[in-house]
Amino acid sequence: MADLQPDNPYAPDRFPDPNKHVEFPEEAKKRFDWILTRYPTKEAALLPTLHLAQEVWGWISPEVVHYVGNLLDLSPATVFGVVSFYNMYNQKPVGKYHLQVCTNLSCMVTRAYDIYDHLCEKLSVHPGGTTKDGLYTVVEVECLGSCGTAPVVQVNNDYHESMDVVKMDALLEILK
Amino acid sequence: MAKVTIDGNEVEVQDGINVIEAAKAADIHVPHFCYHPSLSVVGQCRMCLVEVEGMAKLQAGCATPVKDGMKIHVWNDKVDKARRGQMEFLLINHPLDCPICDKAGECPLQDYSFNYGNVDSRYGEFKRTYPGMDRTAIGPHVIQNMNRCIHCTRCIRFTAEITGTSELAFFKRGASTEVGVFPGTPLDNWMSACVTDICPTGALTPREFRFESRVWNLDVTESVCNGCDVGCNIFIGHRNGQVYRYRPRVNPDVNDHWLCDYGRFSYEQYETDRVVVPKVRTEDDYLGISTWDEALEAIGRAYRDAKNTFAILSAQMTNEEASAAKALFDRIGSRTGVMVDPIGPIKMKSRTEWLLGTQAGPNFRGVSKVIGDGANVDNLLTNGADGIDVLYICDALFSERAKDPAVIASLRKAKFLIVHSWDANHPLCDVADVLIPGAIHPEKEGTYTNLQGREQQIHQAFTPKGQAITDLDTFRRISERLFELAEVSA
Repeated sequence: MADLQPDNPYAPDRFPDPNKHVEFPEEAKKRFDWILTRYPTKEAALLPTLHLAQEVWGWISPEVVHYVGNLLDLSPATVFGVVSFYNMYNQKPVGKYHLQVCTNLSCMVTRAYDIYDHLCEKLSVHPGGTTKDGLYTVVEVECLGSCGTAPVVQVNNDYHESMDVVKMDALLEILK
Repeated sequence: MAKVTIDGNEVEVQDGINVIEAAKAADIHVPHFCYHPSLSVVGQCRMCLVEVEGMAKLQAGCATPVKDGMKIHVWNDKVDKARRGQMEFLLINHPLDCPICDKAGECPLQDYSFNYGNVDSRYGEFKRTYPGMDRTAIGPHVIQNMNRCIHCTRCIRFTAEITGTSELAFFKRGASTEVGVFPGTPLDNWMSACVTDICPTGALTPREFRFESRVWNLDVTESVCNGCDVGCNIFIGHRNGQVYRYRPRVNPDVNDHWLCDYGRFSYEQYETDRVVVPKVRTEDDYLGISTWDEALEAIGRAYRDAKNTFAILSAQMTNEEASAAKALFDRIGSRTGVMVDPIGPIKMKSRTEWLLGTQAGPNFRGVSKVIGDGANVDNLLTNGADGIDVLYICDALFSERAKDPAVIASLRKAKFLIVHSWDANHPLCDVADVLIPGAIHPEKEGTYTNLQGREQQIHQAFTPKGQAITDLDTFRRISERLFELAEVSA
């Protein structure tokens, strides 16, 4: 049943593992303390704390949701509500290189789907999937706000503009 | 105070309250889903749109405070059109499965869809559904059907503002927004089933009442919960002498709109074997079925020569029963005492303050006031009823300790033991010399005094089972037997 409903939040694999201990490393703890000083309430520090957590672990796991909730005195449901609202919080583990292909209007008419399909085929992953070696994750995203230089591929936090299939191959070579 | 005109009726209301509350003062109903008097205002459902003269657009009634001289139209063509439009939007994705829905009959969405809904939808696409989320157990008492949800956030605000536990939240966004609990933290707080009352659709239903009965087939009696001494006001939903559910009855000073799970499902204790006939212990030590006459005769015989007698009253008795019992036992010359178990504490939020229920009986304060300086029951339970000729226990459930074999043994040291009980499985029933069938709380009429000293009325939902009668009648019968008949024969 679980694989038929991949987005079901009650699927058994979405339950936090009580045996998994999650804690910020020392350096991240210092940054967290700094984040807290910048906001009037603890709740307001939720978004940057989640960004920090994603930087540390790469994705927001159920255990991290509990951990962040405890840090900020919020319920896990409230934290997960925020995590699931924003697309850029990863709810699944992602590869080392997170290839985000914009397929919104401007990119689509400049053949973004060629890039996207090519990537999926070349890396032999399903759309939204991660390669077996854990190096690449290919996802389709909505407008990245760089329509003037469409099509755009965002790799982790960097934009690669005016892309095509050849340039994409060259980029993959560099990323290896 | 502000003078406002609502649909031509001029009413004077408090300054700053919203249009929905002001319209209530004029006895006019403003349809709404997300607004709830005890929760914060979000203005999410847009169902309460009203026309305010001088304002260009329709205003949300819940979020518009009244001002002096305001002219408000709740029921005119313009508002009606807006409401119909809003209703059409809400019904686009609602499954309209009222025939199999437990909420049907008391569902605001159903009522308004009857008033404003179109017969057929103009929407040609498929309805949005939440696969696999149509019967999710999100907590021990609450089943969620996400397909029926209209996203009013009442339940989310309830867990955030009233219980402060925030188990529920919106997940995802846009058309796929869903209400849910985070895996591993279920909706498990002491008032969790309240979300099923405030849910304006059948999205959240209490597991205990699912598919038990259609709500319109239930008789409704106003009563007071007997779970603890807070005395929450309830409606008893019952049919053919069976309780199907308790539902909170609004009382801003006691329980506001809420009812705790312990109290709400406390009717389940009545789903047991009942004592329906009196029983009297015969000479060969057999507790056999008897007639009321034989039972009263046995009680009369026991009291005739008794010197040292004792009566344990119960915190489950109404004030009237306690008075009758006090009058009877004073006339007999019996000592009386009452005790209550500590419980909880159960928290209950009235409109203004938190109340803490700490006693397992609803009326300990009332009963102790009636009997004044009572004898010590605790001493009796621990040290034994030695030397007591007749011990009268007015309710076998006067304390949980009465189920303890050691306590039963010490109570049994009395020469003659009379017990009232409705629970046939109570161990005290087996050791009694005379067993009187008692009435449960929905079978009684009377008043309870709660922790605020507020006397609240309970009403009889149905008559007692079998040959059981209320304690009030029992004491009257005993009194007749002991005194009036004695006078006649003398």
